[in-house]
Amino acid sequence: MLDKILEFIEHQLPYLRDVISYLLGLASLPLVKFLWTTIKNWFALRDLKRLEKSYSSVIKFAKRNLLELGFLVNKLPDEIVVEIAYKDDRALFSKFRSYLKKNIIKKIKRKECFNIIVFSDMSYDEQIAFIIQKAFESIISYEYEKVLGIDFRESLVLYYSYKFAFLCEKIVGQNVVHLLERKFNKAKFKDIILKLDSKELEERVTLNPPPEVRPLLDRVIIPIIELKNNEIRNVNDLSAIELTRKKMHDLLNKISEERIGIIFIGIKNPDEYLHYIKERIDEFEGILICTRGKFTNLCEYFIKEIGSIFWKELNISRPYVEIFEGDLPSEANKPVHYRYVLIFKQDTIKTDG
Amino acid sequence: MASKENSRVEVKNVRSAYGSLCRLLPVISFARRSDIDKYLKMYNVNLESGKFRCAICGDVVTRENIYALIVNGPSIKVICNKPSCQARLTINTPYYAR
Repeated sequence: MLDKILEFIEHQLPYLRDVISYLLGLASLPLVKFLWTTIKNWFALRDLKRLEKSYSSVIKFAKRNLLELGFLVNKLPDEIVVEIAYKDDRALFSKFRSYLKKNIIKKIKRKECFNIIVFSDMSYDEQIAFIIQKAFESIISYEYEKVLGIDFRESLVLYYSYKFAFLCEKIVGQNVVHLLERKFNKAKFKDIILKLDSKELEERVTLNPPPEVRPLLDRVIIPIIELKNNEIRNVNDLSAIELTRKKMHDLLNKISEERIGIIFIGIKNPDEYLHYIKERIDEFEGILICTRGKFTNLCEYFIKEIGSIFWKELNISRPYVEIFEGDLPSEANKPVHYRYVLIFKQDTIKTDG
Repeated sequence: MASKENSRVEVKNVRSAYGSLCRLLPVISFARRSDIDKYLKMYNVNLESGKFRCAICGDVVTRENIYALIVNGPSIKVICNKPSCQARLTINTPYYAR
């Protein structure tokens, strides 16, 4: 009996082999389809991740470069989830991933999710640019409504977006850089912002001897704007807000035109700093004294001394003095007291009174 | 006296808004304009009723001028496609929108 069965199998083996290979062929079709879908999803995932990575890199960039805005940056969500995006004509989505991510974050990090659905036929690069721009808008634009005019705020947002994209070209891609560059080129205050962020200006107007390497925009301008903003946060008088905007615009203009010299007060002997000021006071219409921490106490001394220099050498009895003062978070997120004093030869920057 | 009280309330609001902002996770979806109906149906938003107004400018939002939909649990906000409103849509919009 067994012999007969074996003989039958041996006889049918070529046919069986054909049937098995046919069945295997059939079975491999869904496998190929599964593999194809996996590869497609992997690419989609990679593209979605790129959008998310752009946002988290903006936050890191802001933390690194806008040290004095640490308060704002720390309060922003440090990540986003991109659920659906479009690349060319393909829809990129990974609902399973976003479902998992949302639930894990909700349960472990105790965060609340909310959906933003943007209806616009943006290209993939425009979507990345959109995320970068919106992240900077969250940090800059809303905060400084009372200190800076809308055009200046917009220019500042576009500049930081472009600067970020330029520095992180590997993450965002060249097209996004070009896109943001084109946008920034249309910005109204492009020239002033570029000057304020240039090392050349910093070298020309800083009275301290080199090396002073951090450009003025991140180091002086943003903290001053932030301090002024804290001061008038609760002011609702429109005329006072407009006046502050005008004064701030005048100040930024004058710094960019090299009409104000800047001195950073540190551990050296105060007389040494006074010597630096005396040396170049003729080149400028005013001096901006920048102090932080324990050195803020020295401001009174410098106001008095510079006032006497103005009186002795230029016969100016009452120079215009404006103080920007307050606490800002430091690198370690501890508040540090800042005091910036602007002393101007003439009252060309209009005062409130 | 009244203005002092108002300012106190405002400071409290700004701080509380920022405090809760870091506990939020924005989930962004970029949708094609041809998919508007799909999303409106998904979130049960009837723009024809004229009840939905832009969270920024307060104008009535229709199917033609919708730019964004912000869904935060049961609350649904819409933003119109005016350039000024588009510019004001940010990651922290739920806390700034009216």
